[in-house]
This record gives sequence, structure tokens and C-alpha cells, in this order.
Amino acid sequence: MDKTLLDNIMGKVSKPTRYMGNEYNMVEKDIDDINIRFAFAFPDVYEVGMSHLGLKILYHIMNERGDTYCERVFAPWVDMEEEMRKTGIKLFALETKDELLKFDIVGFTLQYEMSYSNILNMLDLAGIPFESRDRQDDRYPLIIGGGPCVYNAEPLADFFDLFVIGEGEEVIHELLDLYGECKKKGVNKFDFLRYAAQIPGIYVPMFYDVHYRDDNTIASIQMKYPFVPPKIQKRIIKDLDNAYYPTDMIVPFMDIVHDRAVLEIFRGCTRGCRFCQAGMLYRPVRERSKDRLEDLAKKIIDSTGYNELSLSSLSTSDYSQLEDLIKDLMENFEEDRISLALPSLRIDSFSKEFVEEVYKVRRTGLTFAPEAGTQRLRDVINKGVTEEDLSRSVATAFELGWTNIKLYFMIGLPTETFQDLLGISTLARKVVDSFYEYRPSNINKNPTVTISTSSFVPKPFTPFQWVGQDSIAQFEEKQEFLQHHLRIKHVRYDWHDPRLSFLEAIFARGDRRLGKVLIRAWELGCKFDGWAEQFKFDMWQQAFKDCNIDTYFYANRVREQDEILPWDHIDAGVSKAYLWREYERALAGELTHDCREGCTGCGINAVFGGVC
Amino acid sequence: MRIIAKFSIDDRVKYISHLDTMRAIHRGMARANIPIEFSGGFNPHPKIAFAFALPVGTTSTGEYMDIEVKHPMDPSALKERVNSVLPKGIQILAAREIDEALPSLTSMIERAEYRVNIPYLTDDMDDFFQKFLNQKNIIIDKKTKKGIRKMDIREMIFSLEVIKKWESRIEFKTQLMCAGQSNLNPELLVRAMAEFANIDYAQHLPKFHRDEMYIYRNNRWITPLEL
Ligand code: SF4
Repeated sequence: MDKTLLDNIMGKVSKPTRYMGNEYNMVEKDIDDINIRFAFAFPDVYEVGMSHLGLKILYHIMNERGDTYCERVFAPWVDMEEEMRKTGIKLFALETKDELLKFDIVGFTLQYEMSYSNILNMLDLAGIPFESRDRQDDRYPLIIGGGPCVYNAEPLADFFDLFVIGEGEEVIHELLDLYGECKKKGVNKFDFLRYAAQIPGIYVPMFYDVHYRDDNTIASIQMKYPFVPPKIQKRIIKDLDNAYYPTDMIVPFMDIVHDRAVLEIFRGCTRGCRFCQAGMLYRPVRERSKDRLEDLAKKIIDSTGYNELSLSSLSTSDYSQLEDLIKDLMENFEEDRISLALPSLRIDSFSKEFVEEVYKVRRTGLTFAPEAGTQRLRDVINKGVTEEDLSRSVATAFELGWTNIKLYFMIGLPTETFQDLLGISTLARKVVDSFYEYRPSNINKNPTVTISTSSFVPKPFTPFQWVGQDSIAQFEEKQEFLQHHLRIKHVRYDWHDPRLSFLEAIFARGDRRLGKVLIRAWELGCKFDGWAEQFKFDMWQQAFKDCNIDTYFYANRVREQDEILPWDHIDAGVSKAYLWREYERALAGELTHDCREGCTGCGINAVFGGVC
Repeated sequence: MRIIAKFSIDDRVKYISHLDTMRAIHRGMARANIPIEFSGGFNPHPKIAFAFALPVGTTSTGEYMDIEVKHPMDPSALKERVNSVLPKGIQILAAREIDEALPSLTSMIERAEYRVNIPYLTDDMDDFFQKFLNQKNIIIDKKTKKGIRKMDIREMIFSLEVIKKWESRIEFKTQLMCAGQSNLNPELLVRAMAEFANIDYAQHLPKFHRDEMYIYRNNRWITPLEL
């Protein structure tokens, strides 16, 4: 890489720090001493990628190895891309500024479907051919993927050499061990993949064939070789408490999305919300012990210098010793003015005094997620929150002096009617009233109640994986309806672009035939789709048309019980029978209790034996 | 106790903004366990005042911060401890206790000295600088929040001399006004030069380095470390 050239273009682009590296705790290694060069690729900008916990864990876990140097690469923003293309600078990693072609492995993390176009763009900027079959010679790095979207990565099947299904902490070592061996012995790519496919959790898409029926549904998913497993089972870390967790995390210079230390307190969720993919994918629940967390917290703060620590999990309130943990952490950190961030805390489960203590440092808005406007619909989605819970939480918040409350809902949920939407405006009104009832006498401000709606996207491995999504027109009608009914004093309404949710629905449950749409969309200039100012929906529509793909089939169609789904050869641990049962219970409006109160038979314990 | 520290920003991290620099140093102080005083109030912040933002892309060996610590400590110990936990590319060069009664660094500093590396704008750069400085007014367009404003920068340039010559580039040294509202960014100076030489600025790619900041005290110019 010509460093002067790079220096010149960095002087021209916005936020050059994105491409600079050299942050505190960045790992530096002498590349002559290592065998495997790994580029951890996040298909979005630096400040989004660096906020991501998975990157922090895997970056440091790989760099613990003497034989591997893991570096980072993010999607360059459009101005940087333009300069790079003008000057011929290829996509490079932040640590050494070496181009990706020099690496052995490029590992993309697949966090959201709307980053797929960026993956292609990054490959192109790196000078790497898109399709796996065009990368047979060892000039090219191995392209691998991990993260939640790999549970159905079929739209990307042509582009990736392999996917890691599930939690990466252990399997990454097995994979790197194998790679290191094969590299020394000069094993060719096909044979390497053949060996890799023997590692549980490794999915090599080119070793499977998918056949389709005339009606476009899948006829069969077949193993091409006898040496691959019929189903690829996800990997989990059984003993999370003793699992690796980094304490010397990189401290970015620029203000990133979540600019604080993060401590993951547990994995998984037992609540069983039926729309929630994470809740199903990350089962079973595994906690880190309070002692271990307190020890980690201290080390992380010492080594990063952050003044804020965020406790991360799918549902903070469910940590078994939460109150004790928080009290201890607050005590330990008081002197150094370290504050705690507790996202997704359900404050109705704690005393007012406790909540006051926890939030004494900062007074930003509070967010609640009832998800649906009526009890009926909340029962359908198994969101175990009652209106009473919500009223209590909101009242407590107002009593403690909050004035900004945000309520988060989804529209387009299965069985939703306009009555349910009206329920949203009723709730909004009640929240405003509650403010005037409970605010302390010293607060003379008016409240701001923000109602935010996203459009429901049915996801694989959820009880709603068979559901048809609302059309864009239906979403828009519902949003207009809400706009009208939320014209309430002190209430603001914001909503997500339904066109984006529509694309998300297509790719979330898509199959291999969508790979060509991605290429076409990329050719038409699609990238950074999650960024409103870059999103080119008309180009996506063009791409579907050019590739002769019926979007209704993927987004809006209701699937039959016996239909072979594109991800049926992936085993996420929860059984299809359980998901179908939950789907039926949903339609019947029946609640399924939190499985901490007794197993509800999701099947994960059958797979991983005795974890639950 | 009040300590001022001189620090550097090198090539590796020169693209960080002023805010980034402040954050990086706050965090370095926290990692080194320096007992920084905090301001009172609703949103307490560490009492470290940074003198004059360094333009993004500029390296420096002449940055200053003004630190208030809770209990007395040896300034050189502060320097050592913090240096061992700062990101590579930022380094404290010297630290020294100063009189608490002195006004803020920003209010005392009046000039900054830069070294600038540019391609030849004409064959004879010494002569060019002479002519450039002989102008009565040097009017430039300055971008502000409210739009573009005309500004005369002649009075803000105190010295200008070529110090090194290579085949295609030269390096010059310049002292510019650096005080409160009147702060001349050397980039504007180079723009004005390019305009004077009738050359397209975009092709220059000048490199800037800040060497020092100066305070006028008891009839002479001193650096903050000489206070
Ligand atoms: S196996 Fe039972 S207890 Fe375990 S996660 Fe599934 S439903 Fe819950």
C-alpha cells in the first residue's frame, strides 16, 4: 500500500479517523512471526462496527493466538470509496494498512440483511471475485461468515466459502488450527473445505444442492458429498462463565455509536417472544457468575479508561442476581465516577429507590417496548407485558423526574387489526395523563412521549417464520392511520421506512436464487441500504425485475406447514415442531409462559443435553 | 495543584479531531489513575483545559493542556504514568507545575509556530515570500457557520521563512496569530499563497506541523513551560 497516496486521500474525506486505526489497545504484531492473517470484516462504517460486541470478542480471541494476526476492516463511506477507486487504492485493514488480498481469511460478520450489498462492494473494492467458484486458486483469501444472519445465509451461499453457525469462541480455534495445518501442508481449497465441513458448526454451502419445484418452493436440499452432515448444528459455549472474554478492548478515538465498555452478563432468553429471532437463536440461557462479572468489570474499566459500563444481554432484568450485581458495581465505581448503562431494564420489577439509585447519573430518555397496542395482540406475540406493568413503570419514571419517554411498537404483526393500532394511541394518551398525575412538583416542563413503530419482519427460526409480511401499501396505510390518531399533545410519532423492512423480509427468508439479485443491485449502485440517504429502493426493484424474482413469494406469502424452508438443513436447536406449536398458539392467542417457570419444550436441551 | 503539560500528536493519529484528542487524554488519565479534579454541577467533567484545537491532519510537538489534580503530585511522575497508557502517537513531552493564580492558558497564548511543507509555488520561494508579505492586505474567504466571510490576514502573520529545500518541495516556518477569536489556521495561509501565485490549491497537499505556542510576558515571548 502506498502510504503517501493513502495519506493524501485521508486529508480529503469526511471522518478520516474511520480509516486510521492506531487506537489504544489495537493489537500490533510482526507479520513475519505469524502464519495466519485474518481480516475481520464488518460490512458497515467504523463507528457502527466498533460498537459491536462480537467483533471485540473475536478480535481479541484470535489475537491471543501466536500463529494468527486478526485485523479489522469496515465498509468505507461513499466519499472514501470514491477516492479509493479514483486512486486505485484497494480495500485495506486498519492495523497494517495491507490490502485484503494479502490475507489468508476474510471473515464477514452478518448482523443484518441490509448490509449484504456492502459485502459485495467490499469484495469488489478488495479486488476479490464475488463467487466462491471463481476463487479456486490460492491467490484469494478464504471468505467466511458468522453472526445471526448465517442461520439463513442462503442468499449469500454463492459468495461464501463457509459459514460458522452459532457462537464463535470455540469453533474459531478449531477452524484456525485446521487452516494453519493445511496452509503448512499446502492443502488445496477444496480439501480444506472438506476437512472444515467435519467441524461441527461449519457449513460449506457449495457442498449442498438445492432443488426447486415449479411453484418455486424447495423440492429438496441435498448433500453433494457423503462427507458432509445432513444438518449443520449450531455451536454454543456450554460454560459461559469460564469462556474467554476480552478486557483489553480497543478504545476508539472517534465517537462511535456505543462509546462505552460493554460487559455481556448472560446469553439467551427464556421469555419466548414469538417475533424475536435472537430469543430463539441464542438459547439456552447461560449466565456469567456475579464474581466473574465484577472481576471483568474492574479489569475492563482499568484497561480502557471508559467512564461508562454497559451491561449487555437480551433482557437485563432476567439476570438472576441483578440487584446485587448492580449494587456492587455501583459501589466499586462510585469513586471513579463510572456510570452504569442498563439497556433493556424493566424498571417495574424494582423498587423506586433502586431505580433512582441506578439512574442517578444520567437523565436521558427512557424507552419501553410494549411492542403491540392491545393485550390481545401482546398475547399473540407472547410479549408478557401487561398494561399494568407498563403503567407502573411509566409512573415510576415520571415520579423520578423523567420527562422523555419512548414507546416502541411493531406494526404488521400477525392477526393485527386497526383496533390494535388504536390501542397504541390509547396507550400514548394514558402515558401523557400519567405524567401530569405523577410528576414531582418541581418539574414544570411538559412531557415528550415518542411513539416509534417499526414494520414487522418475519424471521427464520421463530414461530412466525411461516407468516406473510404486510405489503408496503398496508404498512403505509397503518402508518397514516397512526399519524392521524397520534395527533395528541406532547406525543411525537416516528416510523421506519417500510420499504426497507420489505427488503429485509425478502432476504431474511430468501434462498440461493437471490444471490443474483444482490449482484444486480450492487451493479445498480446499491450499498449502505440501512442509511436512509443512500437507500435506493427503485434500484432494488429494478434488480428484482431484471432477475425475474417475484418479491411476493419471499416477503408476503404464507408458508405451508410441510414446506421445506431454505434453512431446514441448519439446526438452531429449537425444533420445527416447537415453532409450529408456538405459531398455532399465537393464532389462538394463547400465552406460553417463561420457561424459567418450567420447560416449554423448545428442544434445545435435547440437542445440548442438560444445559437447561 | 495545577500542572501544564506539553504533548505531541504524530503522523499515526493526526486525523483525530480536537474532541477525540480530549477524550483520548481523559481516558489516558483514567487508566493511569491520575486524580484529576472534576467540575461540580449536573454533568461533572474532568478539569483539563486544552489550548487551541489543532487542525485535523496536522501533527504537532507543541500542544498544551492545563490540568487540575486533587492532591499534589510530581509532574514528571504524571508524565511517565500517562505516557505508558496513551495511544501510540500521542505523548506528553514535558509537565510542570504552575501558579494556580495565573489566568487560563488559552487567554495567555497569543501566537503559534508552524512548519509547513509545500511544493514550490514559484522558482524563487524566498523572493515569493517577500512579495507575499509586502502586500498591504491579504484578503481571504473564510468559511464560518454563517457562510463565507472576507478576512484580512496580513496582520496575523508575524514571520515567514524558508528553512529547508528539496528538489520539488520546501519547508517553511511561520508564526501566526493564535488568540481567542483571532486564530489563523496555516491552511488558510497556504490557500492565500496559492491564490497569490495563481496556482490551483487542490494539487498542493501541504503538510502542517505545529511546533510551539507563545505567551507574551514581562516584555518577552515565552513558551507555556517557561511560565
Ligand atoms: S429446552 Fe425448555 S427450558 Fe430450555 S430453553 Fe427450551 S423451553 Fe426453555
